[in-house]
Amino acid sequence: MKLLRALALVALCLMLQQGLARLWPESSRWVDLMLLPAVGYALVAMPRSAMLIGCLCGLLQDAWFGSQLFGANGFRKTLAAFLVSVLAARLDLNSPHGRFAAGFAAALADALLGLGLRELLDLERFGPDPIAWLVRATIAGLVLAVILGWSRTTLIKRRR
Amino acid sequence: MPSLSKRGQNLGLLGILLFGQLLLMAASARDAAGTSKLQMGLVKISSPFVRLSGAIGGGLRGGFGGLQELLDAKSQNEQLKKRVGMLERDLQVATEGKLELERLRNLLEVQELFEGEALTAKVIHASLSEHARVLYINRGFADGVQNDMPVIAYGGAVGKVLMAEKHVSKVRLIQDPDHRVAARLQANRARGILYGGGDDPLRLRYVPIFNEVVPGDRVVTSGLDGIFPPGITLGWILEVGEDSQIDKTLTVNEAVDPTRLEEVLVLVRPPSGEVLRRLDPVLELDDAS
Repeated sequence: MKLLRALALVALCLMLQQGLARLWPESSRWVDLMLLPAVGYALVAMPRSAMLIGCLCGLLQDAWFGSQLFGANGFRKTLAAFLVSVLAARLDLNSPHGRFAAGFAAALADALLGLGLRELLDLERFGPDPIAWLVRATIAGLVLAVILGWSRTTLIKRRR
Repeated sequence: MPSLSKRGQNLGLLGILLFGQLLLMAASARDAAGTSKLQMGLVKISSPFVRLSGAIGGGLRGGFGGLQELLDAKSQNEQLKKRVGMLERDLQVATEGKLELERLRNLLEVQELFEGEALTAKVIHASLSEHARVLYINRGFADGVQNDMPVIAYGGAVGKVLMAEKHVSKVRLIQDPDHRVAARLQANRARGILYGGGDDPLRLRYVPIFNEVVPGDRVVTSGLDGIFPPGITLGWILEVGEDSQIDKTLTVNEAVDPTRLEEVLVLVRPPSGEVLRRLDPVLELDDAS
């Protein structure tokens, strides 16, 4: 049941991202909905679930939106999910501000990891795009703060 | 057997996932067939959801479009007090139809110019992010589309097929930052490599320094990459950059705006060089002399 719920959430995010891209092709530059399940699960579930969800979301994103190396987004989102899990285990992120900060930080980490991967793999280099990063991070933070606030499952698991 | 702590298990899973994806990236960089199969498998599994979202998105767009039309008609009614709403909507539909007819006629004109075999395809999805510029078309290997086939539109080159599924294909645009096209300047035949720029304009690199280049010069495909046939317009020189000691880098204005694309042509069987020579005025002059 939990697995089905997670898959449904990923499918919903993919549908929303695709629907948005259909209305506005440049939307994926400003809105990264595929990051949200990974961060959401990192906040409310076990780290391994978050990492697996992040991996799936990233690979789907690579398949539908990416043209570069297959697996690059999966790598970024797995790592971002893990980092948020680590933070969630140490800090109390079960408040709108905490969730906003987690979403914001995860989106920034995702962008920085993307930049780092391109450098590491010697792909075509870009200058950082801080405006797009900030917009993406703010949207991620706001959505997480609001959506998770509505959800009943906002209790963060206490981890050792 | 001692069991691993939760932290150890998490770190182990993280390591496995990251290592697995590094392997995927390495395989993808080598164009290994397995990764494209996995990628297309994911696309296949998730395509029902995407189709559904496409239908909803299309419906929403239609809804917004209808609302806009209604508002337009109302304001025009108020301003002119002559036009009837239904007539206005009919006019809109007719204009759309005319525009579509014009686009298809242009495409047909391009198709007729090429003696090779070309397939008309509709753009069903486009993603223009900072790191990737791709679009999906409604033709796949069932229609004869294969990987690396060139895709063009009225005006010039669009990109190449990155992956072909049964009834859908992913096209990497020439604006994609990881895309390179063998190009030449039509006026002086100087060769170079056209780099996609993402949000930035296209760049033509490695043009030997002794070539005279002026803004407005047309850049066409050279055919040397074995993907695009020669003579297809890529764009026009926008700016001549600072020279290095041996070559120039030129900024190029794209010939085809990907945000406006609705139909494209996939060159299933590109024409031979001889046919293209007739399409290229400069080469035609060379032949005459």
